[in-house]
Amino acid sequence: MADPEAAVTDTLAMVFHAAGGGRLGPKAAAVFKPGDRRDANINVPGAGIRECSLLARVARINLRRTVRAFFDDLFSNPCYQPLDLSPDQIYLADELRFNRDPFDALICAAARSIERPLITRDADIRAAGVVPVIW
Amino acid sequence: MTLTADNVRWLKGRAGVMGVRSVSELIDRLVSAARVSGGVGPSRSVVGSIDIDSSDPLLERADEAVRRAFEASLGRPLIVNGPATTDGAGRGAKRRRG
Repeated sequence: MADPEAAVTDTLAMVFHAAGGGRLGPKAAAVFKPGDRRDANINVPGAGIRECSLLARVARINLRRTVRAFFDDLFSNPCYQPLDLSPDQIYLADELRFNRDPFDALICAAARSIERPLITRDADIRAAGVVPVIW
Repeated sequence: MTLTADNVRWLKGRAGVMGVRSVSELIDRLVSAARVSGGVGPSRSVVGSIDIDSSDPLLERADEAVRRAFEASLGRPLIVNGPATTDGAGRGAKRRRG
């Protein structure tokens, strides 16, 4: 992990950040705050974008605009960048298999693909130890 | 940052043409131009711009809700439209996806 101010965010961490940040763990908040100051680099996996859209669809969150508009706003800050879903990430996710969640393994694979820690509070991911985590 | 020799050569040439003080300054200009041409305008913060379901403020049941929606999609019957086959399956037959 060459750059401690660079990380990949999982879906809930990104949602908590967008909701005001009060629900983030202290270390996670410490990464997002430099992101807002443009001193950090936070990648959002493609699987996380899709999971966020599903959370909105099942009304667990209200983005107050379309999914596209929300991410257009997020990525207008150069510190936040989408991380494309690649075939290699899919193969790695299939090999991880630490739980039945369709997105967790993809998000971990995305973090591993660029060798960055994952901002997450997810107990399954922490227990699996497949990627360094920040919370 | 590591660049190929050809790109370094091109940058040095462009830096001379554009009258910038250094290759670093040129790269900064190129990135700025790329961001602008990509439709990226001024930065907009998303902090405080969304709402979370008040009945599940920590989204502890969110994974389950998404997984249900995902599995419901995977389990949805797939209508197969095609010519009738000899075993009786044909137009309108339903098959499970996956």
